[in-house]
Amino acid sequence: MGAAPQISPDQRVAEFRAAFSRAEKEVGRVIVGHQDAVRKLLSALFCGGHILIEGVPGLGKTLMVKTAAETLGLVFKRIQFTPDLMPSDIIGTQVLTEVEGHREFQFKPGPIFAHMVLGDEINRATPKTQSAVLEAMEEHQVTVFGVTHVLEQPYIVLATQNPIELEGTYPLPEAQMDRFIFKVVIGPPKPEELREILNRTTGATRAKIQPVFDPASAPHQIETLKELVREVMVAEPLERYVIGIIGACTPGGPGALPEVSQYLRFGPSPRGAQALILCGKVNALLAGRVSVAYEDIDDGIVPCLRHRLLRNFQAEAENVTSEAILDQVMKRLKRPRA
Amino acid sequence: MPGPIDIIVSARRRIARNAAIGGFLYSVLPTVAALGLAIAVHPLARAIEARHGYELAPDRARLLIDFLVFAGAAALAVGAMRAWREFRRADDFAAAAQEVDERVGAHEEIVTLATLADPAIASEARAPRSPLFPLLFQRAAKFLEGFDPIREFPLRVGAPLKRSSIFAGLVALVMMLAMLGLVRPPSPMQLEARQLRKIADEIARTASTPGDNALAEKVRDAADALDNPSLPPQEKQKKLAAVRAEIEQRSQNAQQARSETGTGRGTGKGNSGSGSGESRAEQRANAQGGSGQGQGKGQGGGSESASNQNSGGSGQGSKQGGQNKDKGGKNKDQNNVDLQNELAKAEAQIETAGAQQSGSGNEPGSDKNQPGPKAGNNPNEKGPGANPNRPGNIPKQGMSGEKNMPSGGNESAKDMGSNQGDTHLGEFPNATKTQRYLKPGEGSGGVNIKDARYVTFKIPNAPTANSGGRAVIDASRPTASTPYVNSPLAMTKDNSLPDEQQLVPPRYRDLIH
Repeated sequence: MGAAPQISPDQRVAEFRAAFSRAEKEVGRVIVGHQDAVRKLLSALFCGGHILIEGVPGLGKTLMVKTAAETLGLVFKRIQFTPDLMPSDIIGTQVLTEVEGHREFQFKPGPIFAHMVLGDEINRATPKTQSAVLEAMEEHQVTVFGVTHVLEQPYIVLATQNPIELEGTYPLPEAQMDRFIFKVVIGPPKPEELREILNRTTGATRAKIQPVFDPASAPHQIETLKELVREVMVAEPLERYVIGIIGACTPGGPGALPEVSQYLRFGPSPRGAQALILCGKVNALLAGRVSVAYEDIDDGIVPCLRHRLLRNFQAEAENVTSEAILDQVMKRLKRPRA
Repeated sequence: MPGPIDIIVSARRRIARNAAIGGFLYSVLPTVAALGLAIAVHPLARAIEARHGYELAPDRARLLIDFLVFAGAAALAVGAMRAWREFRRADDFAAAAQEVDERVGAHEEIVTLATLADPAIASEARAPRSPLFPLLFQRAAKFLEGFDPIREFPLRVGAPLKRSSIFAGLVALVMMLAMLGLVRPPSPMQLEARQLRKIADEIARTASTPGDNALAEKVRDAADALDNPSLPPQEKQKKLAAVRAEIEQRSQNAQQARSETGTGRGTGKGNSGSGSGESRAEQRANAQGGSGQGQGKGQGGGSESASNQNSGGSGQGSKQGGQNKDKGGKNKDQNNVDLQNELAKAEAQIETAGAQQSGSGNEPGSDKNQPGPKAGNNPNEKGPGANPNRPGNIPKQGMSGEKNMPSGGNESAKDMGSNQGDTHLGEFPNATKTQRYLKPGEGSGGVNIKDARYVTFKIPNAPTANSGGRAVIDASRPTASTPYVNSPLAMTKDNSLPDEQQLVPPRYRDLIH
């Protein structure tokens, strides 16, 4: 294992909890409310996944991602997705450059080369451009003119999308949706939260962010914590529980609920199960445990699976949301006995 | 201090044992109920018989007991199977860990430890352990500090017993319903058998000689024979006759002994002479007999007995004599009397049953080819038994009554005139001399009805027509010899107007007046 041998397991767990807690606290100094979204954002980072944030404009999605990157001491880049955005604008391209008296093509990396990439309003770009980030998201590498360029770890894509003004947008294809470990929906702030937002954003002083990690060693430290997440243990009954959840959400699958068969075209892929387990592991560490509990799994069901359920026409016509279906699944699913 | 794995193993054993016991307990109450009820069938049947008079036939009782024993055995077998199944199901390391986890609130840490460190899985077959496993082990050990599987997993017997009580109640209910369905009012024959058994018990209780016990046994045999529906009536009669013969033998022996000793052996029997319509002189003689016995006992109760006109001869004698023997003698006498009465009644019942069986074959239409008893025939031609003095012996028409007289009879006293009646149904029943019940000491084996609460008579069966139920013109029916004419009808007064009167056609005018 990559963990430093001189550090005991309980110290590693304590370190993880402390870093996570501090990161949450620092982001919370800028972002009012949305604690769950912030936690999921950080969880996605430590799980090694990507996160899709959905919310109407002006709720602080971009600010949240920027603040998180600043807090963690990671390299942050932002891509504003527009219909005319080209893949090379994201990935980068070969540029003819004069070097020592002769000209040669040099690769000019695009904004995707960063630790944290914010794809703002990702559904406004064409599918061609959207697909440009697929390889980067899954393989953590890009290939330009036959040359593969590995992305530096940690690497996380944080995409936002606007659920309104859908005219002229290109909904993300299922394959791309499946690559996001979480989909977080940001709702409007509560009145007291809005008041706090006003105080913070319209005043003369702005909150100063204290990085949790030293920017020089942040990637390495974060990678170490990601390894710790992977070391968290899962009992066999909990694995069966996760499998049961996936089966219950799959139309025609074993243990599928009637609502699932009625309103869904497709259920979650194995990536959904992986997401549930990883989310459970992060939650277990945050609770100070080194093994996953049922409650850790339950906490991740909606954010992990809501964007993996493909509703059918009837569900859309009757306005049956994925969240409502998952809610039914959670109510009816029984925890397996050992 | 045991480690977490040892504690989980211990908990597993405890849980499996509890599950097995709990599974078995489900069948305990039904088993106990079934077997208990099987034991209680006879007492319950007796209680029902004593209180309500309904009887549970022995074969039905046996059926019920067999059913209950089978149900109990089946419940026991099911309980054993359930115990084994529950044991196998609960004997799981991971499941035990989950139970322990829930008890200590370890958020699946114990379960995780158990799945990663199951002792049943060989170490080389296990997946490589996480570097965090030692921490998990430490945390599990901390959770299980002071955990006592025996205290945490107590044996709970309440729930299984409570749940199985429903089934046990069901068994009891079924049994009660079955008893209700199986009990029947006893037949007269069974009543007689019951009475005979009581008397047999009484004889056995007061038995002073081996002969008494033998008699009691014979009476019981006779009672059993009466109870046995498969036994032909002749066999029953034989059994009864055997008892009767035994009594007669004992009576003769007693009489012989009395005549030899010259003492009033039968003081009790002296009592039975009271009210039998004997002459005053006989009563006095009996009273003297009682007196003699009393004197024989040396208590001088004779005079009082005589003054009481033999009604209390024995009682006084025994009272004044203070001899329990007398009392026992009275009991024996009483038993003999009762026994003879019951025997007579039993024989009458057998005859009645036989007559009903034979009578049912002569019902009109039942067998048209079989002629019924003809008018004038004696339907009771065959007597019920050899002993003409039995009360069950019915006076027979056309027979000499004197033959039935227990003390011998005067044939010339036969009323021949009463036999001359003639009806279309045949002869009137011959009014022979009625039987007279014997006084004690008179005749041998006579029926002593003193202290008998009732006697049973049998009314002769009515002769049935030989027409087989069809209307037959009886040519021999007496016809009237007095001539008769039809009286003329009175003229009716017609108040209607002449126009409305019915005109008589001219051709009839001469005919109708």
